[in-house]
Amino acid sequence: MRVHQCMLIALLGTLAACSAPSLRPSTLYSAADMQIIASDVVQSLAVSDFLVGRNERSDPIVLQPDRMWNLSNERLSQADKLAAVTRVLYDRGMQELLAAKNVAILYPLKDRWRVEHLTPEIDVDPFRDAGLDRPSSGLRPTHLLQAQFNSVTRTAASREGQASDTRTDLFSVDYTIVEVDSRRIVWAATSQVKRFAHGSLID
Amino acid sequence: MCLWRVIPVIALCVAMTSCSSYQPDGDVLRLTADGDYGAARVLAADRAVSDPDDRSYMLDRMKMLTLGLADGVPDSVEGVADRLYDFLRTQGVNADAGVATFFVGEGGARIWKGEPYEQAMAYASIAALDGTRGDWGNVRASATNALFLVRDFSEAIERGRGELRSVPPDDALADRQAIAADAAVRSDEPDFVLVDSDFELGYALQAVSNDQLGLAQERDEALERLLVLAPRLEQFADEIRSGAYNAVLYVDYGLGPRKIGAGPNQVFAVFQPRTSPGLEPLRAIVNQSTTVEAQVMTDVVRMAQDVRWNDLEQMRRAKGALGTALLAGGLTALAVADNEWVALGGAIAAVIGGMVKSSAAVDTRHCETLPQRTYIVPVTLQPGFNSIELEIAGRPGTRLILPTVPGPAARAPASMHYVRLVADGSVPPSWAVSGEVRYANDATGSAGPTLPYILGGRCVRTPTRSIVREYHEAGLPRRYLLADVLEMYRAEGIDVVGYTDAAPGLHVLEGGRSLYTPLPGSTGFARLYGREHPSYSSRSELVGRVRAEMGEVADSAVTQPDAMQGE
Repeated sequence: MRVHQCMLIALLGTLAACSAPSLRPSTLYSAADMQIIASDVVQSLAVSDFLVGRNERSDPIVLQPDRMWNLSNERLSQADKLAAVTRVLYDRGMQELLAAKNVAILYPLKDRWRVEHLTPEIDVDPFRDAGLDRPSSGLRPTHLLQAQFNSVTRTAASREGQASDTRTDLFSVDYTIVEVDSRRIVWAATSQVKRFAHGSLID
Repeated sequence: MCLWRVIPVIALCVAMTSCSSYQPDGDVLRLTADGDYGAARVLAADRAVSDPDDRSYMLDRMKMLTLGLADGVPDSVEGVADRLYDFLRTQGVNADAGVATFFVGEGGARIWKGEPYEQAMAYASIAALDGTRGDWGNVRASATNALFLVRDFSEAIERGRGELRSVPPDDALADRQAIAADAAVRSDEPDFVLVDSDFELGYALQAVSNDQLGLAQERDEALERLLVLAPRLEQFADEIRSGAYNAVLYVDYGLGPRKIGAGPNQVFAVFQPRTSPGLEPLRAIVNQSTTVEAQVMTDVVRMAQDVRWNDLEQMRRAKGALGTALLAGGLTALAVADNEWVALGGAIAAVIGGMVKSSAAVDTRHCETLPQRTYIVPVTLQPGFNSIELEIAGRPGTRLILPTVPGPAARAPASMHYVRLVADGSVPPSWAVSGEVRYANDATGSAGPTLPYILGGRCVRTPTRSIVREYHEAGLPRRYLLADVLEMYRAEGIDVVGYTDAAPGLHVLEGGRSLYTPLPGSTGFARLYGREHPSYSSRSELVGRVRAEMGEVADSAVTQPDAMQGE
């Protein structure tokens, strides 16, 4: 092969290689993290004193998902915030358990719309089948499910004197169920995930 | 010497080296400068690349975000903000672009992430969007991420001062910023030290959001840092500390700097102001009684011209030199060679030299819709709608009266209102100072029965059953119900945004096909409803028939503008 042909091929190869930009990872809180945390919290709630002592003849409880407080260093989309509580309540096993414990879920219509539109990965059909999303006129929440999102961030440079290129975030989500009348916390759980990413933060 | 060999190669190299650099969108710029944010927003969205793999995809999203905010339709750019934030937070986006950058240049190889100052401003814009929704947790997070460490080159620049003095003062390209950047990257010793950010806006947003979240210690820390950077903001700090405010005005003004290439091979980025910088205070008069004077929070031109806020690319300078050497050597070989293989090698070297030289130029893509400066103004608003008059001292063209800024609900956190002042002109546009609301809208309602705008009236509200009953009182035959009114909009090709998932386009009042209400208190709201618009010309047979049936009674049934003021 001639020299200039080799050079041309090398040049074309280089151009082809640079035509496919790919994104590098970040420590952003992801849908997968949310799933891990929700599963963790579902298990914790299922075996909690709040539910264990109850049965289908217990006094009815109306549980309403409340807002999620973001005190982390990470911006959360509206969908992420909703998903943080809906993933716990939309869990099929949790729905069956709550129904068996005479706990109804009151879900604001506007939020249901958001869940269906913004988090399509959540399967709302079982929830609907169970009749838990019926407009419940006159029903008022006795308990609120709240979540608070915190994080600790560390950034560093892999070489001294260079710009930061590693970041670690420890995300912690605190879930609580609060009795509306007494403002008493009747259940609380915390779940954590840690994420690490390498690459120039600025570029 | 064989000139016939050299001339075509030189022509090719000239063509390559004169490859066009980024051209800011002149139409969008003009509309933005005029305060015509609706048309600018729609145009920017229409011209935005749709392929997420395109290297300018995020640059276009950034423009859409800034203009959506300016036009008072933050919901329409919520998805854009989500995506932009995720992108900004992604590390090493251009980690693999080194080799490609060498051959095809930054613009052709690197995904646009913006200069550090653009990244900081992008975080601030996202914080503004979340602030308009009262989401102080997200404001805090974006502000925190905006305060990344920056590289301080002051020692390297100090070492290069000798060279600065040797530059002819009348050399237009020898911009001090470019030479300072050159001096900074030329040194063999460590070029920079990492220092805390001096992004005043980031600290201010951090302080306000921490205050709203009840994090007093974090608030005070942010204010402490802010005052070290900008002692002029002491009054702002006092107001935040005292908590004597229930709303925050986030006010942008002007157009951000132009980025151009300068120096040999255009390897340096130079930032020229589009709007003249200055530290004139902003005066805000609330409900014609309380006057607040706010100092400039952040001057974007100052940031852009500060080397620590630039992304210095050491490769550019080396590439320029290598390209020149290859080009000169190749052309010489081509001219003097008596062997065809040597001549071919010379031609290839010259072409590669031309490519390398042309690709050494700085990537001049930049977000031209950024503001020139930002003010953050804590104010106290009354329940209901408030009138706020804004003007930058010494710039009468910036005067803007917002007649319908909603006060926060009782016991609710403070609200944030984003306002973008008009950039151009010594006289403000009429709508900016009318202080009137001349059309019934979803935010302020209507002072009395009126017909829809498409039927000759003054109502541009989202139709509901009760609103259609008002239309009946204004003269619409009673057999037309809500579904019929919606059908009229459909027949006219108008998206009623409240009934669809469609993003708001150009408003029907401005000749577009979209019906929505911008946030009350935004510049977009003042522009839409603060002036008279031409009568609507129907396009469909249905609406034409209904208008004919009513005998054009609309003119007599419309609500008078004055009656709607201050609702």
